[in-house]
Amino acid sequence: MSAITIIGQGPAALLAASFIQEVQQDCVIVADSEGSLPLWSGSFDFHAPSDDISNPWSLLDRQPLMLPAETWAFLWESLVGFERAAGIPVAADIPSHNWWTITCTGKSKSVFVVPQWQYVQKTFLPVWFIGFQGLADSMADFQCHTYQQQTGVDAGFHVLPNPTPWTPSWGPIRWASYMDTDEGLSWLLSEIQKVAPEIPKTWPILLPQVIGRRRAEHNLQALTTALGQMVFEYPLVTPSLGGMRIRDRWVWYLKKQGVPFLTGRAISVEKGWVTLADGRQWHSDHVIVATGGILGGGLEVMVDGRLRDPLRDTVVGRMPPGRAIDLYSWGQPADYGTPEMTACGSQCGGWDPNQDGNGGAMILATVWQSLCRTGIFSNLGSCNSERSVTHVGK
Amino acid sequence: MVVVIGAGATGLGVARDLALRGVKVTVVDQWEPGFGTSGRFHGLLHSGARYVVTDPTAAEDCYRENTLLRAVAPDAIEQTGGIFVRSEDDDPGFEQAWLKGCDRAGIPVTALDPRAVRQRYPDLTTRVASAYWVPDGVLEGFHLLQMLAKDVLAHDGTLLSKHRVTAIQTVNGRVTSVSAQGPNGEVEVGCDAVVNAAGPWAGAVADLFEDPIPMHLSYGLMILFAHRKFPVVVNRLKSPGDGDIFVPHQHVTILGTTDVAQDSPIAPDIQASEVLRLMDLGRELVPGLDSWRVLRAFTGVRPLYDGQGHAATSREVSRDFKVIDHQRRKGPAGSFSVVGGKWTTFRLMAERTADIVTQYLGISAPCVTAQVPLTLHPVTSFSASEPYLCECEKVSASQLTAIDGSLSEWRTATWFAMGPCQGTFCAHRVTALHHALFPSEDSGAALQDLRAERTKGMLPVLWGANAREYALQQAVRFQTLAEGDPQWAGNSPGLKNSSPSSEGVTL
Repeated sequence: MSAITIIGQGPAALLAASFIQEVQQDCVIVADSEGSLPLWSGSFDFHAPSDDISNPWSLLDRQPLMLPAETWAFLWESLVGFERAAGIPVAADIPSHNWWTITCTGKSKSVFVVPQWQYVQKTFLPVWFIGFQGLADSMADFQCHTYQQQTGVDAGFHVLPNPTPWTPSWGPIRWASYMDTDEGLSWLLSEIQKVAPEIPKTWPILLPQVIGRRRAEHNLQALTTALGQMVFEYPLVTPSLGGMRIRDRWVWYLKKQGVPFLTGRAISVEKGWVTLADGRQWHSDHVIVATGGILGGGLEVMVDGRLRDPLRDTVVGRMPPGRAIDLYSWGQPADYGTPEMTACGSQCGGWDPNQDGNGGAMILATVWQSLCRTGIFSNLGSCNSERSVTHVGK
Repeated sequence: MVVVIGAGATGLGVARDLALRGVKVTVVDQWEPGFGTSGRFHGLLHSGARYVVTDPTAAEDCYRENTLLRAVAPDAIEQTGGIFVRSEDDDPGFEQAWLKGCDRAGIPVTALDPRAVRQRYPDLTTRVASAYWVPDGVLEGFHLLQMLAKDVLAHDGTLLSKHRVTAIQTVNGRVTSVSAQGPNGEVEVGCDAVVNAAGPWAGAVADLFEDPIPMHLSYGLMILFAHRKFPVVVNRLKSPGDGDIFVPHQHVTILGTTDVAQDSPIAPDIQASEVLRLMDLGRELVPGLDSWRVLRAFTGVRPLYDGQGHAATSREVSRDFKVIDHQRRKGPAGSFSVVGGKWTTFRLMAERTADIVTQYLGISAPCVTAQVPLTLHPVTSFSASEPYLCECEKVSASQLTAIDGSLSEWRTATWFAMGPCQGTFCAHRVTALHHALFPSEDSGAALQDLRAERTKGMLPVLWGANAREYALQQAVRFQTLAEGDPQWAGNSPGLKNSSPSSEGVTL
């Protein structure tokens, strides 16, 4: 079968597959669940620790994996290139600084590469929040209050009443499917037009991130044109339409490039042999494990605090239970101790995106580290530039 | 006027008993109803069977009160029944003593076929040697507290939450008023008598009477599992000890408990070794316990009273209660303490206390709490026109907004944030709703408190699905909702910003 097997279909897996297909190598993706992208709004963050959130390029030496600036630039350019090729609207230029986005609770959060449907700003500016009455995570009054309190900047809000077909069962996905219809878009436009006279013309209008699954950019553009002012989305919690749009398009792009996606649960990997729960089995030169660590289910925490890797049925560490440690930072060593098997993404230990705001960087750096071991980067970038690797806990 | 210190089951019970006898009462609590021991127990409505061998007085009280409460407060009680199972490893001699004790206490016991019990409850060990049915039940503590509090208010009583008693004034050796420090400064409540029902803090209040009482505090650890694994209370038939009871509480199961002596009225941080020990003990009854979906761990502090002197271990201290008239000792006239006891016997404790207090006040009015029913003011039922804010526990906005209370009172009344996700997806929504109704309160701090409280309960049991859930919760909080205030502050998984209200750990 394929030279490389990727287990998992979260962002690390899709990024690895994108690099591999670009150099015209064969790979296959196998996963038993939909991956983590629908959990998040789809921003890829570089580095935003508490004490300096402005310029992640000046903090490269604080990343767990030390890479030179050229390698980081290569990785970010590649990500942006893949996203754009897949039809995900991200700006072509790599940012030189972090952006602020606004959460559904009105807080400002630092982000790096973000699709253009999501509102970001360099400094705090007045904005107008719109909430939907029947959408639990849109809480425009509270959001507006928090934003004003935290930034000292003026803001306003409206909560729109529910459209006729709405029922209490409408979650974000159902809202988005309504917005993908002409009826949904015209309902939204007419409701905003009713309140538009109160909204200052220069303030951007921010909507909850459910403005379509397929037609989001089209809808936002149509609203911007009709209202004569900028309209964007703010991210919600899960399921997140931002991440789902990215996943939909990225998977479709890879399938068009000929990458096979198999559905099945990998239960073991042994000397390159991948075995699925349903009995299928094949050999690959290399296996990339992108199963999401503890959050993704790629590592199991046992009652006594031992961490078990189900693919190899081994204990990879011990965590003192009951201690306030970040589960995110625990994982497999990048190389699994065997040259033909590597970990990437959250399966790889040593990163703490909750603390450091570097979830995107973690994906880029660990995928790069994995692929260096496969040898496919020989004509793409220098794998010798890696200077130090930290892994497994702190 | 009588001031009752403590809004737990005992304090609210005393206040209601007095109010029904026509006495004007004010209940003062440093936090909110149920923040102490009453909100931190396993939910067992004792049949008394647990204590028939070691503590026959408490056993008899429990059985009588159990029967009474089923009649007067059915909304707060689930009549599950309970079973006692003896494992092949346990002493058969105890079984005989236990049967005699149940007979003496008048507790009805039905022998069950051990094989039938194993078939009916396949999670149980295969080593069941004998089994008996007893009239145990499950007590919905927070509901009962709310019912008591509402009834006190309905009878012209006052509830002063978030007020810590700082002094008790006397004139000529008689109690005249109580001073308490609250969010808006100090208040002074004039009174003819003071009842100290402060549970684990009773020792501190007695010090204000200048008549110290010997409290024996111990805390118990409980582990909460998702799913109602048994439809009945499951007790281990041996001398009462650690890890020998499973209580089905609504749709979760609680494994209890441990018994560790301590000095502070606030339980210490939960030790991993203690969690593992409780799991080991639980596994003796339920071998597959590791596969149950764990939700959180919590502790409660038992305010036992060691009137006789010094018991070697707190298991030896009676679960019986005592009403102390401090005037008969070193304290002022009109000062009383009620100490010890069980949740199950709170009404009886209240009755005895109120008898003594009314006698002191020269009022002759009989206790009526054994006859007057308590009803649950129904939480507004779900309206078909709104979405759930808490999807785990199916809580909608109108159910919450019907409650005039703090964020934590909303939680204990509706159980939002108490399900499998432990508030990951609803805490911010409910906080926003609360903010809309109470804009002057610091909603950001209330959310931080709620998060810290949930975190504290999840951390000691970070395994299996709970570890995944915790990782998700952390990522949602810090990567999606930017709760590491103000930006990516270094306070991610820690337990900073804990207010007094989150020092203990509740259900």
